Formats: sequence, C-alpha cells, structure tokens
Amino acid sequence: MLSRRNFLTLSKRADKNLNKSNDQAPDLLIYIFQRGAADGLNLVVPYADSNYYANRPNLAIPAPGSASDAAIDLDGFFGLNPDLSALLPMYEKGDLAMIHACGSLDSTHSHFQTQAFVDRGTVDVGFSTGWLARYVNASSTEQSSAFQSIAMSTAIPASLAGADQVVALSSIDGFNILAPESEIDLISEQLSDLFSGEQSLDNAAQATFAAVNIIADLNTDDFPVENDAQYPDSGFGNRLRDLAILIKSGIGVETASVDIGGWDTHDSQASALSLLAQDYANSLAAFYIDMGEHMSNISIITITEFGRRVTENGSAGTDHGTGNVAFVMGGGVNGGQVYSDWPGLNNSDLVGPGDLKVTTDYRTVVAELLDKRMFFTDHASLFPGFEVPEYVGLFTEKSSS
Amino acid sequence: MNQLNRRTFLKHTSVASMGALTLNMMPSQLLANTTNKSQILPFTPLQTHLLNRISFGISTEDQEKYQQLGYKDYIDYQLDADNIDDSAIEGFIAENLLTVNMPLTEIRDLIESETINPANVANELKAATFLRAAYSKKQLLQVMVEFWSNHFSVFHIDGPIPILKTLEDREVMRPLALSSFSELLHADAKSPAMIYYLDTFSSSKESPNENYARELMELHTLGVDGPYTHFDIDEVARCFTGWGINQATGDFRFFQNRHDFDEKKVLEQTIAAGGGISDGEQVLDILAAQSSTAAFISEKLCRHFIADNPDKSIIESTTAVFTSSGGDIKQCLRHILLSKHFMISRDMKLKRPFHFLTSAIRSLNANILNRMSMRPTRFVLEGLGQLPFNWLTPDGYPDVAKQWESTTGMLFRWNYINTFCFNELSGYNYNLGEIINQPHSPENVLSQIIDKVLNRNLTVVDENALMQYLSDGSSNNIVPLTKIQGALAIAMGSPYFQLA
Repeated sequence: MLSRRNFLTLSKRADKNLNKSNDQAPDLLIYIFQRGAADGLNLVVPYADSNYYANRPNLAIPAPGSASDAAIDLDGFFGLNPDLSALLPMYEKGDLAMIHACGSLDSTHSHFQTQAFVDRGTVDVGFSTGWLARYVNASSTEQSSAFQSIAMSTAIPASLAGADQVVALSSIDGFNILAPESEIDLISEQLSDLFSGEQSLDNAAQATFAAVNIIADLNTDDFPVENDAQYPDSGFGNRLRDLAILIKSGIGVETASVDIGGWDTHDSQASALSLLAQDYANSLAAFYIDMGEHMSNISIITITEFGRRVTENGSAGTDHGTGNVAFVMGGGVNGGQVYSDWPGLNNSDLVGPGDLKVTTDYRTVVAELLDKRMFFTDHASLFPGFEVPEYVGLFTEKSSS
Repeated sequence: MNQLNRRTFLKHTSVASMGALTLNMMPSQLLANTTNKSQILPFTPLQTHLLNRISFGISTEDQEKYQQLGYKDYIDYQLDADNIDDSAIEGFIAENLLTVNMPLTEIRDLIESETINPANVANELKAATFLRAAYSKKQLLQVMVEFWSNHFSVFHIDGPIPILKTLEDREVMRPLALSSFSELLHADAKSPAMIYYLDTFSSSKESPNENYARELMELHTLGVDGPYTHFDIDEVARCFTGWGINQATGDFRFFQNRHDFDEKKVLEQTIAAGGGISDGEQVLDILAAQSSTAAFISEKLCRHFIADNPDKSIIESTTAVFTSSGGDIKQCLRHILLSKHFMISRDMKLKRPFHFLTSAIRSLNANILNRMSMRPTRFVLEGLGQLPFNWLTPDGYPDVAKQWESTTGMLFRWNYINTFCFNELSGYNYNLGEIINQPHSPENVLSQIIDKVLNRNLTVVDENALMQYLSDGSSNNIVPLTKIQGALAIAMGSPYFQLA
C-alpha cells in the first residue's frame, strides 16, 4: 500500500487565530455560480404578474394557495418555488434576500460568452483575469494563507483566472500525495525542485505542495457537521460540506467559489428544475445551519449567466433569456425581501427575443457586498468600464477596525 | 561533485528542519549555480516534438517508424490512416468490447432483455477509446477523432446518448475524422446523439427549439463573433424542424409533418419554400462555406497542435488552406505540421489529462488490455476532469493549459503517475526490466530514463538531482527496484513529461 503521509514543503502557512473575533474583519465571500442559466422566473415566481401565467401555460408554478405544489408567498407579488422551501427560514429570519430582474448586459445569449463576461466582470475582452481574482490579488497580504482563495472544483473557474494564489480542490478526501512511505518525501522534494521555474505550471505545482501540506495537518473529525444540519449527498452538497470544514478549521479561507451545474433546461424542464432547485436549496440551507454563528461574518452570493425566455418553448422547456434572479445570504444581508425594479412581462416590456429586462446589473450587487461587508471600494479595478450606480441597499454596513 | 541543486538550496535553507540537506555542501558550490533564476527546459528534439503532438504518447515503435521515414513522410504516413494496419487492437476490441461494433437494434435487444444496461454500452465505448489511444498504430487518426468528438461534443450521460454515442463514434467521428469539414458537419447534424443532445428531436414547426441552431453557429461553425443574429438563430431552427430519430432503429429520420416548409432566410440567403430536409442541408452548406467558419476551425486546429494562443499569421495561412481546399482536413494538418510555427512551438502545450494518461502507458509499453484496468482508468480520468464524452456543455473540453493546471489537476496527475510506476494501479502492468535494462547502475538507469522515457535532455542541474536520488538508495552500484520506479515517477511527473 502507498502511504498517505504528507511530505515536507515550505508552504507559507497562515497563522490565523481561530479565536480572534471576526467582527471587524472582512466577511468571508462565497460566490456560487449556477452554470447553464437557471430559470429565475420559476425559482422566484412573479405570481402577481398575470403575463407570467399567460406565457407559461404548462410550466408556470401555481400562485400561492391555488394548488398543493404552489409557490410560497414572499411579499404579495413574488412567490418562492416550493422546491426552494428549505431557504424559507433564512428569508424569514432576514438573512436571505433576492434581487429580481438582475443580470448582465451581455446580449449574446451564449452560455460561454456570458459566463466569461460575468466571471471577468467586464465586456472588455482585454481582461483575461476574473473579477474575483483581481479582488484576491488586491486584498492579499503577507499573512494571507495558501487557502486564501479556493475553488471547490477540479479546475479553476474563470472568475479566479489570474489569481496569484488559488487552490482548486474538489474534495478534502483524497487531497494527498500517494507514494511508498520510504520514497514520499524524496519524490516530493525532487518534484518541488523540478517545478521551480517561473512558468504558470510551476506556480500551480508550488501551490499544490503548499495546499497538500496544509490539508495533511487537518483532522476533519475535529470539525463535524453542527446543529443537526443535513447536507444532501450530492456533488454540490458535498462541496459545501467540505467548504464548511475548511472554514471552521481556520486555515485562512477568505473567498470561495462553488459551482452548481445543469440548469440549461431546454426541454422537460419541470422535473430537471425541481431536482436542481431542491439540491441547491437543501445544500445551501444545510451550510447555513452548519455554520451557525459564523454566518454573521459570511456573505454568499448566487448568480447565473442569464435568465430564460419568458415564453416556454414547444419542448416543455425554456430557451435562453436575459434578466434573472440573484440570491444573497448572510448575517449582513437586509433580508426577508425581494428587491426588484420590476420591468413587467408585457410584450412591450420585454427585450431581445422576448426576455425579462435587466434592471439591476449583477455587478451593482457585488460592488455593494464588497464595499459594505469587505471594505473594498476600488470598483473600477474589478469592473472596468462599469459605473456602479446607487446601491440597492442589500447589505448592512460592517465597521472595520 | 555538486549533487544538490541550487533551487533545493534556496528553498530549503530557510527552514531549520531541512538544514541537514545543506550541510555537506560548500558555499562556493552553491554559488556556482545561482546565476540562472528562471528554468528553461532544453529544446526537445524535433522527432520527440512531432510525436508528442500527433500521437497520444511516444512508443518505441513510433520512433523506429519515424527514423525509417523522416519527418515529412512520417506525417504523410499517419495522414494516410486507411493504409495503416490496425488489426491487432481492433481485433481485441471486436472480441472483448462487443457493443462497440454491434448494430443499435441488437444493443437495444440486449438492454431490453436486461443482459446489459446502457452504462455498460457507454463504458465499452470509453474503454475502446482508451485502448485505441494507447495501442492504435493510427495515432494521428485517434488524435483527430478526439478533436472532432470534442468539437461536436455530446454528454455521454444524457438520455439515450449512452447508446447513441456508440453509433456516432463508429459512423461519424472515426470514418470522417480526416475527411472534409463539410462532410463531418453534415454527418454530425444527422447523428442521433447530437439530435437528442441539442433538442432538435423535439423541435417542430409550431415551436422550433433554438438550442441546436445557436450552438451550430456559435460552436460548430462561425464562432461566437461570427456574422449571425438572433434572427438567423430563429430561421436556422425552423430549417431543422422535423429532423429527428427513428424510434424503431435509433437512426436519423426526417419527419415531414413536423417540418416548417415556409420560406426562410439564413445569413441573407433565401431558402425557398417547399424544401423539406434540404432546408437544413442547405444551411449546413452555407455555414461550411463562410469565411468565419474557415477561420474558426483553423484557429481551433492551431490551438490544438501549436499553442494555446497561436500566432495570427499561422491561423491566417491555415484559413487560406482550409478555404482553397474546401475544408480538407488532411491538407490543413499538413500545412500546420510543416509550418515553422509548429516547429518552434516546443513545450508550448501542456498535455491534457487524457493525453498524459495514455502517454505514460505508451512510454512504458504498459499492458492495460484487460477488464481490470478499465475502472481505474475511468476513475483517474474523471478525477483529472477529462473522461471521454463527459463534458456537460456543448463547447467540449477546453484546449488550453489554464483549465488543467490547478492544484487538484497537478496532484491527481502525480498520483496517477506514482500509483502507475509503483505498480499500484489495478490492471496496469509494465515490465520494468524491459524498459530499464541491466546493469542497474545509477548512470545506466538515468540514461535509459532520458533516452527511452523522456526522449529529451535534462538540464545539468536536474540530471544531477535525479542522479543523487538514484545513488542515495543504491548499494554496490545497483539501484533497487523501488528507486527505479521512484525515478520514473519523478521524471514523468516533471515538466519534461507533462509538457509537449
């Protein structure tokens, strides 16, 4: 058998004091991307807009009280898809808010183009780095951990492209070097030396040695799931469960990126969306419950590349649209509200081939979060060419030290 | 002799626990190596470079053939894949992976009688794909099958695709991978796997589904910056209404009653009313002939064979060849492989996981021709993020290094190589004595790793470091087997083997 022991490397090990109060430190940011364009109109349902039902004779979520699988009323206008009901307690507590008719101004309706745009934070293709990477690079200090920014995935998402230091980790289990006991340190040292150039592959290798070393010292049993939280046994659920362990362990996570894919529901949408919505909501709710009081210093934002066409298509699905819903969660959220400058679903209100108009740019949401919860105001560097308008008022202001 | 290299020193001296390593070194020796900070690998020989790029790994046989034919003739030999005898591996596949060559109706009967399930069918096709990459003599063909399967990517798990992909692989990708782009485009459009994946099957004149129409232009032909509008997407969707799947046989079928026979307009060209199946075929002809398509496909080929960001001039000259040859794939490849841009692009690509995995098998002449090896192969590739036909979205696996050089990517690559070299990967066997001949003195072991496995020279510093690793464990000038395996793992885990 091969040994799972770690090897010696010279990682810069963050010396984060777990007991230190985080009340004056920036919030930990979690960026969740629903890849594939989630159908926001069926997740947070504008049930009081009659055009919603006119456009979706087969796919609409029934208005509150009208059926057993009806939407759950949120504010007299919007209702929550019942598959998202696990999030209702957070909404009622005021730790969850939604922003409707939110999105990006890219109008290509291309998943790949729009995801790239949303992750880069600018239409300027001269920027190959992600907005989150630019934030991470700007906020990084000598004390920053190897785990300062993590992606809970095999590959590095475009939002973190160009980050000086990023760990991509699909799960904690298995994040170690395999080699015979007698050779493991020697092989690791040799490899470390062989990757000591200045190419990006060398940087990736060195980040790997640092991360493996830290994970090797981590005893996951020390950080069990708390408060009877129940994570679904799904890819997304597992990634959030592992993220909770990494945060609790105090290895210095400052930002995390987590994807949940499969939202491109061109046909037979009802069943597919139902499963995804449950997975998303149940996993996120479990994370919230598990993290307990930590949530007062965590801000979570969920976005997707674009919304879906207002009118359903002939395949019991929906095609690519524009405006959509975003979710923000955390102790600093002015929650219990759906924020929306609602453009309406009349034909004359729609844009492009029949899409919900965007009235709030997703960057306005991110900018407010970074400003009020993370003390970062250099919006121009994150979103070149974007003039941040007046904030929506989604977050309470955190006071810095 | 200075056996501990400069970089080790720089890294280790700052930590007390590593002090022992530096004790036997003299300061002057350390200083001697501190001038050149940035590591630049010695240029790979042209033979190694070409074989790296047009195969899934360099075997002894490839090298012998190259030496017999020379650079240019070796390319032509590989391009003329029809005349390469591949009966050994195809025979093995025919005998052991039955569904790969089985008619679709027969596969369905076996599934209905619960003899097999759809996942078995999908796994057999994946296994055939690994085995062909590892053992086929038609290496460039395999590379191009992978290229086009990725260009026209479908998700192997979606609906009936576990079965339909077998048909597509057999009747579209393999026979046409070295034909013309237009032929391939037409065949792919009528492939039931694609018709299912991008929803054409559910598209009708009452409600055309735009999914295929959009991706056909954005991903298969014009590229996202191409000259099309949302109007074109709607019109193209109408042209393909009625294209579907014969439920009885699983083959392509055109359903007249679902087709929109009215006039359409695509990229300013009128498609007359009353056409039928020819509407979609005309669209494919229009798209295949666009200059944007020539440029888009050429750029993708250059990215695959030359560099992540290929030079504009080589894309342009390839585009010209694509246009003048009517999209002839062989002519485009010959142009690229004979260009100076290609010749000087050494080490500019990172092997993608699939290539990395198979190249280790080919370099060590390993045997994975057994059922035991298939599960670990799938697990390794899934962990590395490049299991064949497993990319969810229709854009296919990225062909640039930044997708793969993550911490998880690096770690899983090393772990694959380590478990393989130490004979811990189930179903993988290689004969160490066959690769590294006796005597097993450190010098002899190292020179064989360089000559037979890496096929390229190391820097003096790196050579010394490996030499020290081998010498430290040897007694009576004989390196124990564990150390030889370890040295192989180090060499193949290093940039010398990961880059191509």
